[in-house]
Amino acid sequence: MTTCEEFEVAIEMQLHGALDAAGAAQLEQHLRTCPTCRAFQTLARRTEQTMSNEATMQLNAVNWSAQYEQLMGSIRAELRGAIKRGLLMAALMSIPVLLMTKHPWLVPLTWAIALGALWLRTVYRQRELSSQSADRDEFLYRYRRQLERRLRGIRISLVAPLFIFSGWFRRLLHGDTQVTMTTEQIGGTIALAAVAFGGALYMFTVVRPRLLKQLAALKQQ
Amino acid sequence: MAALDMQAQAELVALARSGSRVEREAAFTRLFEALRAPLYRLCFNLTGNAGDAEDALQECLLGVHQALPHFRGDAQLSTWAYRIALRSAWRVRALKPSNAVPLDAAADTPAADALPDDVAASRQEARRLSRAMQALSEEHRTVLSLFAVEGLSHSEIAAILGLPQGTVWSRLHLARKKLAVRLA
Repeated sequence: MTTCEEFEVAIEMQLHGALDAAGAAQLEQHLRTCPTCRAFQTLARRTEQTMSNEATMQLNAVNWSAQYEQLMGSIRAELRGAIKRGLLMAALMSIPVLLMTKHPWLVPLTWAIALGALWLRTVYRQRELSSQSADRDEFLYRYRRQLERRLRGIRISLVAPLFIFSGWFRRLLHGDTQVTMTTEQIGGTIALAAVAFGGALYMFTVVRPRLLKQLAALKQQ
Repeated sequence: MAALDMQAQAELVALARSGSRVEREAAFTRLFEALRAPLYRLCFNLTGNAGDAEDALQECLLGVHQALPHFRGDAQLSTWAYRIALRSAWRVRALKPSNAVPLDAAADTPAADALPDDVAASRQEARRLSRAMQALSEEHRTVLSLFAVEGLSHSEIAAILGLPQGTVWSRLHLARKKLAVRLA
């Protein structure tokens, strides 16, 4: 150690018990002759003490039982959300049964595709979670990209129903209103339309504004 | 987080993975007791006010609860939880830019002139320090909080931040220098 910069790093190390005996002796000798480094040492000690006291004081002001209750409430809400998603999934799985009465072999195929997509999404999310960076800028950049992806997904969910029901729309435009479906197929089509349009409406009116707000806040960073 | 040794950590993770509902809840309650104070202190230092710190803590502990069964054990449980807390605090602070103003940590405490001289002086110093801290960059504030408030070792901090150990020392030194300039 020769410069004050190096001795200042040594002061940090000493403060946290990471300086060896030889380094400590060298530092002590330097401190005797250097008022700048002595002032730095005093400041380092004082700031650590003040920060520690301040944080302890803030800790005493927290209502931990309220925090715990709130956390448990959030966990229960998550669980309820998972149950609701499961029920919705089961309801969605029943739609192909109604729609594909002429080709029942298509039903397990549809289920396999849906479950496969769900599995891929879970794997992707877990990979994303484990690769989250400990660098703030990178983390916020990735978070922003994630929000933008979700917004793109919402735009697709708005257009998707139009494609799903494009055949129906074409027939309606040509004045062909004759129904050639079985009762089950009509039920299935109505259920599919309700899910597609209801989902799109929910995404557009509830989720999209929230994501846009978060994105705007992130862009201000 | 010294309250949880490696064996206790392993037990908690095992219970969170395969225990009954009651066991899982008990394991998480123990984890909450052990983690709440250090995680809150970190969130408070990073967000700069109690309200945001509580939001970040909630988000962080919810994240810990969701991810605990998938915890691989390639880092210490505390290191892993600190990383989640960092990200929660960053997110809360990024999504609430209006709160990114220098905090007044003593806003809820009596006025300085109502306190004995030495206490008032120390509160005033704490206020100055808090303002100076909030003016630091996020990365400097993070490393200073982990060192000064949590008292973590440089190797632990390097593991949390994913940085080489030498970088941790130099970042701490830079943070302290900038703090000194602001306090001068």
